Amino acid sequence: MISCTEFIPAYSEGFKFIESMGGREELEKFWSELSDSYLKNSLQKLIEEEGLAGCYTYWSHSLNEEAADFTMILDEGQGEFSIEMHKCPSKGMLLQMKHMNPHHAYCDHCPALYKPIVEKQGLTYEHEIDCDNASCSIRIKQPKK
Amino acid sequence: MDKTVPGRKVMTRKASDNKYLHKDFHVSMNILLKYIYETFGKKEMVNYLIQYTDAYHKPLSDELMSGDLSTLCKYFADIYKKEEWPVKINCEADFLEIVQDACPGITQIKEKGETPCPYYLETYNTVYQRLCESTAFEYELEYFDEETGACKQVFRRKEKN
Repeated sequence: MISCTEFIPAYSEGFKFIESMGGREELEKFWSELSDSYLKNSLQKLIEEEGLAGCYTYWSHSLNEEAADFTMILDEGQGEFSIEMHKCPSKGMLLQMKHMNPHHAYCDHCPALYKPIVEKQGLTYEHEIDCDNASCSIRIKQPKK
Repeated sequence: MDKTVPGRKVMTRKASDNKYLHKDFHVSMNILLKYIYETFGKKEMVNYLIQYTDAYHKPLSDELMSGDLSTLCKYFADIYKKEEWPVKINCEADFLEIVQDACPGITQIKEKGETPCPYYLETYNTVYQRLCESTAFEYELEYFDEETGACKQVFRRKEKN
């Protein structure tokens, strides 16, 4: 059994494996399929139903279950949603495991998964990642009318 | 503290505010397995699980190589506790039996309307057989119900010839 609490190292090794089989192109193909299949009925559906507030609903659930250290702001007046990830639980876990090396571009999967879904809904997605320190920020905005 | 004013919401959390249990990771794991299986075939899916076991379970494997089964018993008690999943674990000096009425992964995957990857049982069989390689123990998946993941797993000390 691979417990859901062991998924992150399994995921990181999965990235290494897929990249070893077909290079970066194959890995990006996997991320794209994962984005389509995993986020279609969750993040995409919530944005369709709630607009920008759907982002708040989606990440309220997942970041709490993942025990992340974060600040999340939804400002509907400004048409902006943001996450300041002070400590990413996934990358943080990988950095703590001294017997394993994380995939060299582990953090790249986040924008690869979320950006296409968000942009498909007519929103913009900006991110900054400090992968060595397991922190990042995401800004999702409604285009100005 | 969460602050709610009209049109504006703020949520701040520390890691210690929540327990770490995101069951949908089982669904993501299944998507990863399916991708490898459908793109590269069963043999490569097994090779991936071997790679994962060698990397992730190295500390556990080192403990088993020393001939001590107690760390493995604690490992299983811990992961099932974290999963909040009922299981019967019988641990003795020379064997460890684990009996479950359903697999937490298969259950979550099905609850989300998905189908488990073909050969999902290899997340048990391949992983724990590999873990036992070069140790004094062997692993047997005595039965496995593909529909529910109900199974009996046995780790036992190899008989000396």
